[in-house]
Amino acid sequence: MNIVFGDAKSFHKHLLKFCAQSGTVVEANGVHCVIHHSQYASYNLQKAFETVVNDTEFDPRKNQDQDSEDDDITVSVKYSELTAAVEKLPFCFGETSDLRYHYTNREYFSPRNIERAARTLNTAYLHDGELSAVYSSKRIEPSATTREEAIAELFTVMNAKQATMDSTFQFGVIGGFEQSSDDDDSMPDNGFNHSEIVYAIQDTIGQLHGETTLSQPNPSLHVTRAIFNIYDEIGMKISVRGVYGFFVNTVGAEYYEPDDADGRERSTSMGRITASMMRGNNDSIERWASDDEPPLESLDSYTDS
Amino acid sequence: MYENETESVGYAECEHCSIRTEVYLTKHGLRCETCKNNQPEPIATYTPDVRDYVDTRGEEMAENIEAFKDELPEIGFDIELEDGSVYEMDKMESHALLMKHGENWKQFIPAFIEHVAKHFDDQTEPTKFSMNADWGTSNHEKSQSAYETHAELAPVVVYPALRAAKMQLSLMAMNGPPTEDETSDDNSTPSVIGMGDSELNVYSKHGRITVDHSILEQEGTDMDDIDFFGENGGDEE
Repeated sequence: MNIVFGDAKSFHKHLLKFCAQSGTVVEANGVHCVIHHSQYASYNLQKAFETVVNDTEFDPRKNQDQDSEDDDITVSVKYSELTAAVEKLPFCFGETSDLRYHYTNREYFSPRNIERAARTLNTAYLHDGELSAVYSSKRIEPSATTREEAIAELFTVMNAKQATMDSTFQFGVIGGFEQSSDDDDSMPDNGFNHSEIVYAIQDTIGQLHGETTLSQPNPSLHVTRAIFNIYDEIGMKISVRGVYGFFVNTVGAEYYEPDDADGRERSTSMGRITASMMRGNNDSIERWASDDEPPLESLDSYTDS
Repeated sequence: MYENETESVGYAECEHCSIRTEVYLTKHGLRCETCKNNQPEPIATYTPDVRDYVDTRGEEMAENIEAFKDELPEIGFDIELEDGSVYEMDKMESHALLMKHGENWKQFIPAFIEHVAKHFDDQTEPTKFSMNADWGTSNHEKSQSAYETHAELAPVVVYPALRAAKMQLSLMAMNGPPTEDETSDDNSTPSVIGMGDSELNVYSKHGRITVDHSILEQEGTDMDDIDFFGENGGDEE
């Protein structure tokens, strides 16, 4: 949907209507569960859910390593059972998938995506919601009491990751390519640090609303206005799908924290090394302000004293 | 709820009770029929410390002004205007007049009477920026589309002349009584002005200062000496 929103209130209504489409009820073995963010599921949710429930023994709540002497091998086997089951579905990409089916039905499902989601959810269950030591804030707090509910959570996480990718991709921070233009409102204006933009959006949502990976987001006008103002500030057209992914992100703002001085120093050093290797000399990649300026070595006497 | 959005937008979790049911669009998010008019608690804000903050400064200032008015000496001018009606200048305006014109207050009053008569005859009233606004257009709270006596027009005419002095008095009043630190300052403002038969008295913590204004009672004082509305035709900010 290509809409130019004149104000935050108009955008808020469309965002809420989109959020209302989040939950889809699925059923297996007589148990009804809700899978969220189903707007991002370009496949038959009911069929995929049934397949994972009935054709595998995978349970995201259990430690996948517990029956193994060699953890790596067991984990690999458990997740491969999951991916092997879904690969039989007609809408799943695989070695034997029918491309004509994807083209005709517009249904796509990547086994790698469900494996990534399964690892994330399993980590959340085993570490009480803490997904990693670095980004230790609890972004996902799974609470399934049955295996079916846990598998519904698995699909919710998978959809959430897809939504997040759609939202962050436009800034090119993780994957993609950073693009800026003062004329094109599909990208930020020149001069903005993209990491700072994503950090600002994610932090604002985290502070005012909170990341809701496992449930449907429900932003107020106040939150939406704050996000609208950020997009307005960076000269970029706001879109419902562009924002939704930040609400359901599995990681917090810390993940996008812009480089600090040490990080920039390291990247500059790497740049120097790369440049010198390519050009075959040891000149700095930083240009002199003036050709008449003395070389850096001549100033050593000042620094040594 | 948003105006003109009375229809449900589908089944989803209510923002307030978290039950999955039929929901409606509201400013607070998707709400069910039961919760759609409930206010969120607490109100979302970036600064949680100010959630319970109650600003009492307005009330304190209002109390200070009342106390300041009570402390002012009972000075008021009853001015008989050209048509025989009497304008009773209130206490704050009288003190503002004395503050601004000091010992020239006796020259101000005939000038003021003349200005009121002129505005009445021309059917105009002064504003902050103009001397010739039509009746009822000066935005003064007592401005009317028609006046029967000079006394009705008088408060509108006197306001631009004493505006800055009244503001200064009000600022002094709002700040309340000086604190110990402020009273230790040698340049603290005198707080009481008094009038005798032939002198003005200023009462401060250092005692009474008397200024003889008998010289002003001399006959033939030229009214043009009075800068009624200031040099620029209006009062200074």
